[in-house]
Amino acid sequence: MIGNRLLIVIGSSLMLVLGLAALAAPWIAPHDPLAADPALRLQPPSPTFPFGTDQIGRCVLSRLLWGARLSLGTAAVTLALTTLVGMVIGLAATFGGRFVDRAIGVAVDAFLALPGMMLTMVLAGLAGPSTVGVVLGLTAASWAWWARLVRSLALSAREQEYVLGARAVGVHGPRLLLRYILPQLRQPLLAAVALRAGWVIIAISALGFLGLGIQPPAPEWGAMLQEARLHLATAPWLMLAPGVAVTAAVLACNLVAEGAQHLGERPPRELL
Amino acid sequence: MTRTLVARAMHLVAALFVVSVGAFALFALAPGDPAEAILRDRNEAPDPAQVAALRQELGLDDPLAVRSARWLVRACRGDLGHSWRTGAPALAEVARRAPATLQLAGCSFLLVVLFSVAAGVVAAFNRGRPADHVLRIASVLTISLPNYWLGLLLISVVAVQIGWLPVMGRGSPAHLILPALTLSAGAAALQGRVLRATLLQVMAADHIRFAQAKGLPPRVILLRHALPNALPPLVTMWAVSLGHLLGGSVVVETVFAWPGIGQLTVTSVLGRDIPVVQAILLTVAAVFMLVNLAADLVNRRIDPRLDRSGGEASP
Repeated sequence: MIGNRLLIVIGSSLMLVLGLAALAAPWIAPHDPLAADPALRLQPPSPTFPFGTDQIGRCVLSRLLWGARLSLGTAAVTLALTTLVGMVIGLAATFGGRFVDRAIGVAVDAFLALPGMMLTMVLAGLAGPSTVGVVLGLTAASWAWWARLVRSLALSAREQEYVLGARAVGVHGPRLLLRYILPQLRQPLLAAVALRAGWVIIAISALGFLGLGIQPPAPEWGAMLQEARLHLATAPWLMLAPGVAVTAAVLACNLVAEGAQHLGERPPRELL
Repeated sequence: MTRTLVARAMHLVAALFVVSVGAFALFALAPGDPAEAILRDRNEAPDPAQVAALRQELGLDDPLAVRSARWLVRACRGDLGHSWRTGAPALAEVARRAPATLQLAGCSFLLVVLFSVAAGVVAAFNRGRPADHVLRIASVLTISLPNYWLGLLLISVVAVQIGWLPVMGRGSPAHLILPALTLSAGAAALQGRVLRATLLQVMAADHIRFAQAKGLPPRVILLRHALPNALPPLVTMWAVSLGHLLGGSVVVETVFAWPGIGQLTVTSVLGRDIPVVQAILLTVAAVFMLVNLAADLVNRRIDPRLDRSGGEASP
């Protein structure tokens, strides 16, 4: 296959653009994302409001830019927390002895017995609905996927000959973990992060859309789509902008994941 | 065979037990006093005496150990309590919504199988050629589309602007088309990619090279010799796709006002109707695990080697 590197380049550039837009939102947003002006409600796109205004007269472009901060920031925090929790539990299963491994195995199976999206909706919805609830709910719903991935990677890493050699000469504990095991996990875990990032962004915006996540008036992309839904026929631009934003963010992650997957090792996809 | 089956069944029961313990723990997760919430839902002023009476009635004042034991015993008898909003048995609420979801998920499943096999076979057959690249980009794009937005787009274009199909709700077969398309798109794209990879892996096998050496036409090789060998991973994937469809139905049913379990999940979570949420989680988990077990058994029928090696049915 040609173009793996190209896909990664396109995906990461898109990520970079979105990330910069999110960081620069306070300076490049033309208006206050929360300032409503009923006189200007449902304006179609114009030079003053490039993406039009919403049902209470807020600037859609400004909301979109501030929303990038919120949506992408929440996604980043969630990914970091989930990876960390999954790694701790996965490593505990690998090195904690037979009993710990069994106990974690049953818990992982129970969590994976439920469709990820449904479990996320339930946990985040009941814990929230708020930004903290979204992060905690998503982490609680997807730690099992990570724990299983880390366990399988660490198990095979542990049996590498140079690791066996190091153990034979008495390397153990944190030093074994940090110097010999973790470096082996870095590459596949990074690929898995790219793979999961798109899913996390979709889940966060879906939660916002369903009213189970980040709440209006915060300019979260999914919540914006929920509000736009009522004006489907009269103001279609309201629905286009946030949808394109979510898709672009997810696409960026998926392009990187797709490229990376065919470059080297292939992370398990079956649980997406 | 029987031994692995028994082991799998035991494992299934253990996992289901953990799910139910987790489901009970949801009581603790939901902030606020359920008695107060119920009274508010019934549009009664929650005065302290009434709240206390209802707490007594629901047994909310008993110690946690007593409550969880009582809940588990009842759950084993199939009694998951009553909905806090409607007062109907929680399982009955789920059962009432099940046909709509089964209909939607079933149709979507057929679409997933149809599209993913078509896309996977075409991509593998044209490996490295333009059709393969186009399909690759198209699948990544499709996977990246949030399903609720795809639903909104379809509603806006096909139903509102052109007026070909009904906007939402359930009724005629025409109502089914847009939700089923929305629900199946992502899973179909993902599985088409997996099937392509599996087919290419199978195509590298010796018996394929023999068939090629024999001079069989590529089409016959692909359809008669490669596809059947790619079947076991495909069956596993189809079982997993049920999870996609059930999870996705939460969102898609809400977009299309489809009166199924997904919509019930959202309204129950929003209304903090914990017994119904628990009933949904347990039902879905049980169904999902049984389907996976069934897929495993089917695979052992298709490919007896899996049985002899005692391995799992995944590639």
